[in-house]
Amino acid sequence: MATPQEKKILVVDDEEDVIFFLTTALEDVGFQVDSAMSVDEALGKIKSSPPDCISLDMVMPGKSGIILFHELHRNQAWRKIPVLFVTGHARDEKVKSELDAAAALSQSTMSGPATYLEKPVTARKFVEAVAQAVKVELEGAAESRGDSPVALKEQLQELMDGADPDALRQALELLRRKSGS
Amino acid sequence: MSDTRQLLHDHLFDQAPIMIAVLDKDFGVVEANARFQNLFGQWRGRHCYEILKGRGSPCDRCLAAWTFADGQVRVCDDRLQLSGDVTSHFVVRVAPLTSEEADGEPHLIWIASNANEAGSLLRENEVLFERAPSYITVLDRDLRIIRANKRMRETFGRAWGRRCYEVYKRRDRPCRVCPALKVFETGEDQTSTQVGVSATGEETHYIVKASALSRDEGPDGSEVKYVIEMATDVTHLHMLEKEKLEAERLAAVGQAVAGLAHGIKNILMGLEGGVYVMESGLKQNQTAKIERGMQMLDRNVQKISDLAKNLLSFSKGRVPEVAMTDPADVCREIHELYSDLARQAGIDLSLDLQRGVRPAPLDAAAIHTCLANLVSNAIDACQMSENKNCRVVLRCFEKNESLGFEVIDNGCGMDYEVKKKLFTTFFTTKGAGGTGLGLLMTRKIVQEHGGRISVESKPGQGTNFRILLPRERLPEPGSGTDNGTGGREAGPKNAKK
Repeated sequence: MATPQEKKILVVDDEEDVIFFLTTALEDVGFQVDSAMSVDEALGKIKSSPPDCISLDMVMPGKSGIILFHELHRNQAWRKIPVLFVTGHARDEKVKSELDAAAALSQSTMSGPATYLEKPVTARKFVEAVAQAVKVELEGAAESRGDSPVALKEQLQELMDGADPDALRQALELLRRKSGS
Repeated sequence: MSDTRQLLHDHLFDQAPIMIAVLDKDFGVVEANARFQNLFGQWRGRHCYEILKGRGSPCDRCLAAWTFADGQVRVCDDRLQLSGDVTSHFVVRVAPLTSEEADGEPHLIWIASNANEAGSLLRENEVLFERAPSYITVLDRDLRIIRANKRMRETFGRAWGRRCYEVYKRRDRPCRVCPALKVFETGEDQTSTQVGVSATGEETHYIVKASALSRDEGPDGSEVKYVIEMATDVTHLHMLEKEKLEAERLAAVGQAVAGLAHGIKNILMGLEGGVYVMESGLKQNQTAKIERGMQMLDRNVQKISDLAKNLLSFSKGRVPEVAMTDPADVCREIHELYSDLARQAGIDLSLDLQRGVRPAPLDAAAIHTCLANLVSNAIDACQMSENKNCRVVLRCFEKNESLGFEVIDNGCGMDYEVKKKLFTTFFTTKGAGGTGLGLLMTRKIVQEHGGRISVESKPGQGTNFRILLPRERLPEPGSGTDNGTGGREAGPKNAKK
């Protein structure tokens, strides 16, 4: 297994505070981090030194994140870079269909995984997702997900976000199991 | 005495303004007066169907035949042939002729009054007036109703002799905008939209047209003596229109609420980040990080309070104050407000005001907010653009009975993703600089004026925002202080020449 120190992550977002937050979270567990505030800036950085994973905002002034994704996909070498979309618009019809299309595309072409996280995202969840994308085992992550109360809360939160009857049933099931155990 | 009667009889027979003939039971004319002969020509030895219809045999439906059979008096309308192949309209009456001397040989008296075209038209008009699916009244110079048709009486109750404003609106004095008074004054047709109260107390909207009906020749020339008011009930249309506007408004609020989630999500992300960065700084004992975390928290707390403030103004809104406003004036104010800012940024901000744009009932302050939002967005778009010669044009124009505004820039433009979200979310591409509420507010105001806002934009080429306000759908002046009692009159916007 690789260590975080060997992996470089590129964080793309148009908000400085978000960049600082995500960068700090990644650096704290040892990743190398670079950042860009626009699609064009990101492309420049990818050209000069391709990262191992890209954290990408969807909606930005000028070009949107999905344009960068398709740009990556046109390039044989860049296609393999896993992309983690971090967006507050994951439930907009258009953004959602773009995310689905991106996920399907990355699967059909055997390129890097394209997954997404919905803002607001916790540092822990974000770092875990990045680690998974670049296949890195984090220190202290041995604690199994289902057992910590924080993890349970996050799992529940995730289900509540989906908020359809099915998800609610699942959430209830999870709580029953927890209280029964 | 008997001589006088005979004389009178002879004279009457020939001089009365009616045509008289006596028919035998074979429909032969055995006697006729001078007027009959004048009009229908030679009658001696001829049959009525030959003389009056130009036929060779009796008519299929024959009044005279029925009256011979049952002795009843009958009246009908008929078109008869005059000498010289012309026909004209008559009212015909047939009655059995009984005489003391007559010994069984039955006769009929046939009387026709020359109803002519005017008479038949009169009857048509009578039907039109009475049965038209409109409210029709005739008013005298005191605004008293001297005639009212069926629909009017059914809707508004007893009308004859009462004042129009009492009947239509339950007022005790004439309306502020009175089409009838205007016709009495000018003699010209007037049209306006009015709101009345029906006999059952329901608000009734109608478009009324008032016209001069007859004139009086007085010593000072002629003056209008009677006015006819014809009104079409548009209550249903009005309700539909109102429901539609209401639905549009609700949709806007619904979208705003849905979009609110985005605004809050972004703030939560900021707070999450601030807390994390601060904790990280504390753990690593890095003051710079702690400070940065604090700043992030500060900024996002500020964002929450801004959002709350904006939301309040968005949801409550102010009571719209609608008054007749010159749209060009609002444009000039905006131009003045932003020309310094534009100049400093090296942007050419210009006005393009079409001539002859009429004043309109607008909430001037709200429209000001709208245009200010669009112009300030356009200036931002220019500043984000690489184009060195940026310009922003504020246009005001009139098109197809709609009042239009346009804000055109050749700034950075928007791609499809951005364009799609413009009005649907608390969406901003300006990072911390925008609230994401400006365009939502703009659209709300446009919708409150019954209008539409649309956008055309190409990345790198520029953006064109267009507002169209159909004059028909504009709110009524003073509708911010509407008392809803039905005593309202439409403003000058509805007065057509």
